[in-house]
Amino acid sequence: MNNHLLLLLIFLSSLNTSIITFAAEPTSKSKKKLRIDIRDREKNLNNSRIEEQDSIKVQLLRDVIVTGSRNQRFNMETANIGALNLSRNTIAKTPTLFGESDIIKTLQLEPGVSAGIEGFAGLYVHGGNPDENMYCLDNVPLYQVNHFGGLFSAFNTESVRSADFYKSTFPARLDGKLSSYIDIYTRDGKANGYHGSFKLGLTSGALNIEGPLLCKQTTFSLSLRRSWFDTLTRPACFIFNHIKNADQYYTTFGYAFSDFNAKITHKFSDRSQLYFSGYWGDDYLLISQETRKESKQTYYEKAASSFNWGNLMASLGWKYEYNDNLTGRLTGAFSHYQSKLKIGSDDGERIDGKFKDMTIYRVGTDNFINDWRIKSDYDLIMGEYASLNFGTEAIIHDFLPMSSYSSLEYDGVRNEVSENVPRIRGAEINTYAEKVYSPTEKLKFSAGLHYSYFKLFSREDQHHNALSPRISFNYSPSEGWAVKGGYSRTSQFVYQLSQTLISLPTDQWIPIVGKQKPLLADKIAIGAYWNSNDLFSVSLEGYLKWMQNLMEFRDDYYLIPPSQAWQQRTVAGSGRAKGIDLKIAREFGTITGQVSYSLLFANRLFAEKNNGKRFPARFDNRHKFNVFLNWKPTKRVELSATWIGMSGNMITLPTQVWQAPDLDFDQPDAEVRTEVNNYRLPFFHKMDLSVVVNNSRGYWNFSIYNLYSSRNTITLLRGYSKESSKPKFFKLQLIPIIPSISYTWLF
Amino acid sequence: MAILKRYIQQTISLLIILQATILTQSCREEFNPIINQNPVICLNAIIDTGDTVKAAVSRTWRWNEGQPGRDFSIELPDAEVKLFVNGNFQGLMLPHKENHYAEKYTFVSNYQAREGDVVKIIASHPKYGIAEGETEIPFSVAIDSIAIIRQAATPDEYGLNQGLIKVAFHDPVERENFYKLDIKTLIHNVAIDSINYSVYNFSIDQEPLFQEHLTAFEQSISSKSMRMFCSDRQINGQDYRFKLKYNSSLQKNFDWEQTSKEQTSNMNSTRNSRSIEYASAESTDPACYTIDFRLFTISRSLYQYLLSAEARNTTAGSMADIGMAEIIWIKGNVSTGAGIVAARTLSECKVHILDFFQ
Repeated sequence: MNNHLLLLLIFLSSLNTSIITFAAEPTSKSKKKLRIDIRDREKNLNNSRIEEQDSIKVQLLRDVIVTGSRNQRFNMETANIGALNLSRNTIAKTPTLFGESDIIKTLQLEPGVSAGIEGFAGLYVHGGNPDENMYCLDNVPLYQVNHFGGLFSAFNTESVRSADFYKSTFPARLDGKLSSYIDIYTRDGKANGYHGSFKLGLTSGALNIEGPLLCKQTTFSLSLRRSWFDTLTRPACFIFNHIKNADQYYTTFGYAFSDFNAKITHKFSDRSQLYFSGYWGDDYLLISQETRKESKQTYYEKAASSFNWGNLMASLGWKYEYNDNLTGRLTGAFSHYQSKLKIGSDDGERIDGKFKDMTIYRVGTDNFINDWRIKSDYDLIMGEYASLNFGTEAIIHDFLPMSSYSSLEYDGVRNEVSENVPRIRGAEINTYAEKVYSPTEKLKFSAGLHYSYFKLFSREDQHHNALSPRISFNYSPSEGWAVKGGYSRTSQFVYQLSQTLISLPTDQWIPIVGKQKPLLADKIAIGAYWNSNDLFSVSLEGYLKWMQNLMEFRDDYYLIPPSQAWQQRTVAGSGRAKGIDLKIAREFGTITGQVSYSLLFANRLFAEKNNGKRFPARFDNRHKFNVFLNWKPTKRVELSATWIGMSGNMITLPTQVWQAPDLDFDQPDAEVRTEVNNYRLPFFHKMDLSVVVNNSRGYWNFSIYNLYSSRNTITLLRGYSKESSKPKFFKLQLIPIIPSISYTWLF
Repeated sequence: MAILKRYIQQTISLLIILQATILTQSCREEFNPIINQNPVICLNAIIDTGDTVKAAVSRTWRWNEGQPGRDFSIELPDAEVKLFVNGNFQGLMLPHKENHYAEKYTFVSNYQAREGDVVKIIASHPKYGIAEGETEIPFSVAIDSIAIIRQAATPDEYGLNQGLIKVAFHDPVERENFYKLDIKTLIHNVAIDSINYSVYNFSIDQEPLFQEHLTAFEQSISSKSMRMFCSDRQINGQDYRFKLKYNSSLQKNFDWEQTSKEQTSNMNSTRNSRSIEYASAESTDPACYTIDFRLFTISRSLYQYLLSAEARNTTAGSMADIGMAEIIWIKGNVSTGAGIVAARTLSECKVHILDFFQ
């Protein structure tokens, strides 16, 4: 028994299950296999503390397989519906484009989640929009979660310990977004020595170092990732400049994304722990050209353009166990999102190194959000059958939705146009309480309430209240079976306006203002779960979802100058979604994986779109099949494969065109408006594969995206036939087979 | 700046395409989507103040039906087109062909458009239904002056110089105005006394109002035409000067044939062949030596049409072309969604080409 407890200690340390206590018992006499039964405090079957077993002596640690799953706990023992835990291992072995493992792309394989445009890290959960997902890094929300237009997510897998994903019903502590919550926890450093890894891939490199800091009570974990693109483009520009232009014009081009995670954890005692978590992520794009050739008199031109966008986050948290029944966490955090675009040019004459008759032109825009937040969360065990979670949070928001300026200095005269939409400061207060109660061994209820108050300081009339009830139950009629049902309301005060379906620095995060109301979603979900001795688990979930006050760009938003107040460019509407998610998973054994199917109906209704008629959501992928398999034939080799097949995205396809009027310039014939999202693209399917080969110093990862090179249609275009030059419609098919390779050194 | 912008456009486009295609070539496959969308009447009328009102009436067609005029006709000469002015029926507009061989019909009325009139056109056809559109004829705004400021007092050793043109006008406060500035020809090439004078490369980069509908990001990366239009939103009731940058060159010992060949190869695609006529040293037409600046006040419908056409060139427009953004519709004001009824009023000012060199 003692051996088992220590093994459990090791095992549980790999999970983020700090409030779980456990009982363990051998299920067979074999020394090679052990069945572990994890039970949490909510059932209170065993409240033994780990430290009470410190004196255990263990002789056998090899050849014992420990099985246990947080997902099975989510499914069978909690009242949450649609909850999922992802370990770093799971994320790392999911095959992805360019071999860049990615938490968002792993989540795209879940039923009920649409990926959006192929290849990009979009996340459309149960018919929602991408800005309706909350990404929390160590309990602090981030706004910008993509690099390179969304090809890669902002979360470096090397820094991630695990992630929890909620898509159907939500714990009362989570609110602020309508569709889903992704709690990402970063790694704590190990206290037993210095370790690290260095990954070299086709697109980026990542370094991770961890270990004790000064003493064993303090540990650190640092992760740095950076893309390689600019290390290729800058030398290429250098060569190009010297060969092509003979140094007359010096051109520079560079794009890079970087992110840095740092975590320092200090254990005052077994009951008290302090941690600092920091994140910095940034994309930058620089393009410049300058006349370099010196002569007595020369025309001089220098022009540069730089774009920066990304996040900064720093949080300080203190976790304290007041007693066996009460645990508290206090978190203070600052987060900053910014998008800064600058272009400028200086041109004129340079005579003997001095500039003359210069024309100086500058244009730029800024968009940022600063959030200061302090929050406290408590978990209280109330006797044998109940527990209570409660907490509160205060946030100060500082928004700069958009500030733009343009200046021209010429002939000694300076013209300046500056259009500053003022900074908007606001406050948000959240408080919640949720009680979990088990009147019988088979039945568990969870009831909670989340209250939010949102106010903008600059406008007296801007304040909103949102009360979000959460109710759910779990009934286990027999061993291995569970039936659940629940209702959740979620609210959202800050939304994203984006002109495109990919992530660009022009995307704006802005608060609700004026007559706008908080975005709201009501959701009813039910589920049935079956677990077969850890071999297979089956879940079948259904949901109905109603969304109100969704914000989108008007159809003719481009008629309003961007410097005008953004609310003039938006319209509010509603949406509905319903569907079924079926999943069969195997988490243990040589072959693991999951097969899932989801059925989705999602639509939108805007008074000022589609003539006021309801229309399908863009990513209403009616049927979606996912298969994910992982096979470990030997200790050194691990194979993973995914297959996705789904109904195509919806697009707006006008077929009729009208003749352009006679004006002084050429114009293409224009389309006649048609119903929004009136056409479904052909069935989408692809298969990805990855092979991990371990060696003594690290491991190779070989991956193939789109193994059988399925040419999936991304949209339909108008064009002309090459053969007959007749007007035709064409399918645009993009990504064929793409192999990639990376190597990770472990030290 | 122009060089940089071209470079930026190319590189950003490359970057975006790179993102989209991920280092791969795209593949196009012919396809005939099964969607039934019925043809409707398309009504186009660009009304010039002082001129008779004309309209083009056609039908819309399915894109892969073929090319109108070659494979089939979209003209509707049997349509009935009614003209209303300030709410009163003015008469029927009758179909005309410019000549016997012309393909297109134009519906013409006797009415001459006057400033302030509200003109409504209704076209009906037994097969394609009814289309109607309405516009107000804008009031003219005169060009007060045109100032030319050269960057350097004298051209450089190659005879090249840059400069700034300021087109001054007063925006009337009492109504909302929309402007479109035109230069009759974008490249001017004139030989006077064996000296070749050229003015070209007009640039709108220096005029913030012509770019007010673009974000800084778009100003960096989107490809802009020489569409010089704006609203008076920021200058209502004020004196204002549109600013245009230009290049000029002066070449002595002029060898027309040689110069013409060089310039033809160097000039961009916007070159207007009339500028070559102007360059003729033997020409005695004084118009050949002037550059015509034309300030149109345009109707809201035309302004919005131009804005939507420009929006097609932005990032969102480019993304929409490859399915990564919602479609940007060309903005018309005809009830069927096909066509535009718009008006414009002209104010003109001519500048002698030598003014750019003195």
